[in-house]
Amino acid sequence: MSAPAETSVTDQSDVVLAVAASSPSADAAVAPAALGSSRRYRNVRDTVLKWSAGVHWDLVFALPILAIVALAAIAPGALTSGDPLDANPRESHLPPGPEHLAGTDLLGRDVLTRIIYGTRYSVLIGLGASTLGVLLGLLVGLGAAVGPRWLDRVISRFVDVVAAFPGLLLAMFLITFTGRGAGNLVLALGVGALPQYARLIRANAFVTLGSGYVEQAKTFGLTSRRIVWRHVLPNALGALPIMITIGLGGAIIGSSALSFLGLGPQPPAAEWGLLLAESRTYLRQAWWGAVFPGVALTSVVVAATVLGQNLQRRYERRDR
Amino acid sequence: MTTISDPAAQTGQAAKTGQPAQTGQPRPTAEPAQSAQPSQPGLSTIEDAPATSTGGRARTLAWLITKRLGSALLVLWIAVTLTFLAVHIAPGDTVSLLLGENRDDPIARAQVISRWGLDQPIWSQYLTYLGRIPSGDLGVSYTLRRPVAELLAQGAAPTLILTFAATVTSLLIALVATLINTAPVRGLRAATSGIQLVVLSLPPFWLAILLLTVVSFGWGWFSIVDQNSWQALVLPTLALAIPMGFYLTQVLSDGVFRAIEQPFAVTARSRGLGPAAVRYRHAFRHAALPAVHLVGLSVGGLLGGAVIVEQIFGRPGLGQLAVSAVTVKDVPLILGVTLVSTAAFIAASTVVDLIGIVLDPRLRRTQGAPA
Repeated sequence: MSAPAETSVTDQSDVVLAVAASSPSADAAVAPAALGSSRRYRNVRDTVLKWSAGVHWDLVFALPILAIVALAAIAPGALTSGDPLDANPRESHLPPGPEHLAGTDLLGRDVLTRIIYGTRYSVLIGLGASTLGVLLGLLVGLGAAVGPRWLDRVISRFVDVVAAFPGLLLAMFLITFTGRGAGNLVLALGVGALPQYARLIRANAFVTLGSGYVEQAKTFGLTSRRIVWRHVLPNALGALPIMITIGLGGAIIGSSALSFLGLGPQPPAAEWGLLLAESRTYLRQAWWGAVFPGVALTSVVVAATVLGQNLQRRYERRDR
Repeated sequence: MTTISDPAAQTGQAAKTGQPAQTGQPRPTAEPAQSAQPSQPGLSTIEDAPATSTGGRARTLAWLITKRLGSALLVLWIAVTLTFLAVHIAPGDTVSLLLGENRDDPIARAQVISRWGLDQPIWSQYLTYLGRIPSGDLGVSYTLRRPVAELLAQGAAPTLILTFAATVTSLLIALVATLINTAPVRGLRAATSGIQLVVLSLPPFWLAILLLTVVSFGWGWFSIVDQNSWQALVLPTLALAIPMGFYLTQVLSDGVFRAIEQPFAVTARSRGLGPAAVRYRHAFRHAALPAVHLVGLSVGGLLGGAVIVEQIFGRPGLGQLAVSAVTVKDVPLILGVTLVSTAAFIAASTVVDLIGIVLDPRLRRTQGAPA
């Protein structure tokens, strides 16, 4: 019966892999005896493993991207000397080269410079929408959890209704009334993200209300208002940055999608969705115009998601 | 999610102590040996859990279905009310809002006023609005100068076909990908989670553009020139289904991995079942239910995604109507599109929930209990 025993070991390390990002430690415990390698090799290997065990490789990838993105959003001039609006008809649709690392668009504008300057739109709209959604969700979700029973029912039903409008269509419906533009995009996407956050915050608040320390606070005679201020609200607030980070990726995709449809910032703004919409027509002549903004968009979303998941894992471990 | 995962946890705990889960319930002691046997704790609780007699069971089932349908209608009604409020709260004169560029046309103005009852008190306007919708009278689109209902009747079919095809395809993708993803191969999960992350982070419209360029223009496959051919449906479907399929894969795989850590999986292993068999025979079924529930929710995302995909592939449909309505502020048209797709979404999630209620007795037991 040695074979099943072995596979169960692999199964476990499979699980270890999932729980902690540092799997090598599990290997190190099992492997050395089996390997007939020299002591020196083992020493080197163990040192390397020890050093790399604490490293989150996903963060090594994500954090530099986010740092560059933050820099590009705050001070795009630091990353490029070019002007995103500097058109030069003679240099229309130049392929990527030493002069223009990501090529030029139809009007001869440098694509890389436009991507760098466009970061501000995409990231700020995404951040704004994600933050607005979380704040609205906090208001609505806490109201439901803390308020009287009838209020919870009314709010929960309301949240169900908002969730019943299919994603982007709710945003488009709102934009019909508010008009286009960056601010209205933030509003529409924030309202659209309300249900997911409100439900999460409500559920978390109920967990806090049912926890041992709240029980104890009640036996000490704390009023429910003080319990809300001292336990429920701080708990909910603590999780907000994580929620905003996790929601950021989706909000950036949503904002660039709406901009792609022409409902966000208007040309000649260099918003990434708009860049994709403009270059789409000339895809066969100039692939670079549509490929590089998409790569930028995808890597930012990946990086934000990785960071959000890491923060969440860390936060959840705190509770145990 | 909590209503789904809670009973699963209970089942696991019951299996750990070797007790059937329904300890609190009086039950006939006809098959004590069988249900105390810890080999299939999941199954035994599923069969024993619902009410004692078949009559009671049928009644609760019928009642739950009625309740679910009732709440779907309630949500739809409130959604309709919210759209009514949106039109009236929106800044500016309601008549001009509904008329758009025709606001100076006295005949059109009189028509809109009588159709919406705008010279009546607000509650009467609301009743008029509620009364008109079931009869399919959604007003006239001033840009396209045709009744909204007529436009919707033409646009709904292609969008619903696309959404349905994408739902089925994303389920297929999720099944195959989860089979691969959860195979008991060491290190596989770390590798696939990276791929999943990237695919899930792809902006759907960018994926659609890439598919169109590479597959259709580059390789010449699945031409979209003839919109009525099946080829034209392939790429839009994939553009919608790939992200959704990977999303479902994530949920399904998580469920499988959670299930194989549970005591019933360990028990199955101790009976001599291989790791693969445990996954495919036991864990998969366990993980399927949350995923099925999610399919209902994902229809909303697909309907929203269809807006963009239709735009990129030049497909006629609700998405095209929505985009043109938003761009020129055609309020009656966007109202119609929103109402139709919201109704479709509510219908889809209701059907999926009903399937869940019928298939899984644990949902019946926990429904209505505080989460």
